[in-house]
Amino acid sequence: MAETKRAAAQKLEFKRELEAVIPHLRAFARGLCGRPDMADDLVQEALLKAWAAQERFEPGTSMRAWTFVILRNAYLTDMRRNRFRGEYDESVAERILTAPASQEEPIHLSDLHRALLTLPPERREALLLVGAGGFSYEEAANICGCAIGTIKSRVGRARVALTSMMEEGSIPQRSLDDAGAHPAILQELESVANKSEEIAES
Amino acid sequence: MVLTYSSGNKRAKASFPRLSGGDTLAALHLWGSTEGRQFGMGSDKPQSGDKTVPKPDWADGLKDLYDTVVEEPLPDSFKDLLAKLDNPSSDGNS
Repeated sequence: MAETKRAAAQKLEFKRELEAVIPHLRAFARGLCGRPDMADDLVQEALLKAWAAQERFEPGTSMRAWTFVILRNAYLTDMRRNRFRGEYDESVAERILTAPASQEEPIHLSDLHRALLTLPPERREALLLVGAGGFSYEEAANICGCAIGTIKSRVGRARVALTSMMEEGSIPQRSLDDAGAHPAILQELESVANKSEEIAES
Repeated sequence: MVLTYSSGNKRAKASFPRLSGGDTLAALHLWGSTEGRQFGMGSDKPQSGDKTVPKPDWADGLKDLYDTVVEEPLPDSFKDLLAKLDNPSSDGNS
């Protein structure tokens, strides 16, 4: 009986922690897939999977990192099914991501997000984890199941690409509608999803 | 049409000066360590230790993109989902 009680308490604690990371899951998902409604669907899917797999969560470890792995896997699976094909909606992104008026010339967050979405997925997620989510390289490597050096390389490349896009203003208008860019993104993702990610980018 | 989507968002107040001019290039230099070199500003030496490396302006924007979503109120659909976890009506809780 005591055991049942402990199990119930653990379940409650698990749920409390799960609830606490939802905003982070939403933010990560939004960065990954661009469209808010799609991102939220993805988060819901990840939450259900996390709930079903709660026995595998080690209490005391990072719920955020654990659920990010689940979210990431769900994203890769959905991407392979082409669920997000051409789904980037600029008007929605513009509305949601543009920062309210500021005094100086603003960098529109929508520009930044669009630029982000043109990056190869594995670099995008590495940059999101480290640059936005505040994970260490090591944590990010664990989440992505790859070597630390690989994460560092991906983040470095993502930074260079974003910097040049933001600086030159050479951000594609609608990244995922771009006839050239999109098949390339999908192709790249396919290879990411299917092959080992251990191979450090040279 | 007035869109006030992110009202009440603490982070949204941050401004993002556009990337331009020498300051930015210098910052890139410092922040990007080895990669920064390709931007070719001669005046600043890249610092290899990344302890207090200045970041390009978009780096704050990236964090803001993330934090903006983190601070959004949770849509009801998530509350519904959480509630459903407690009383699984139909599915596998044998």
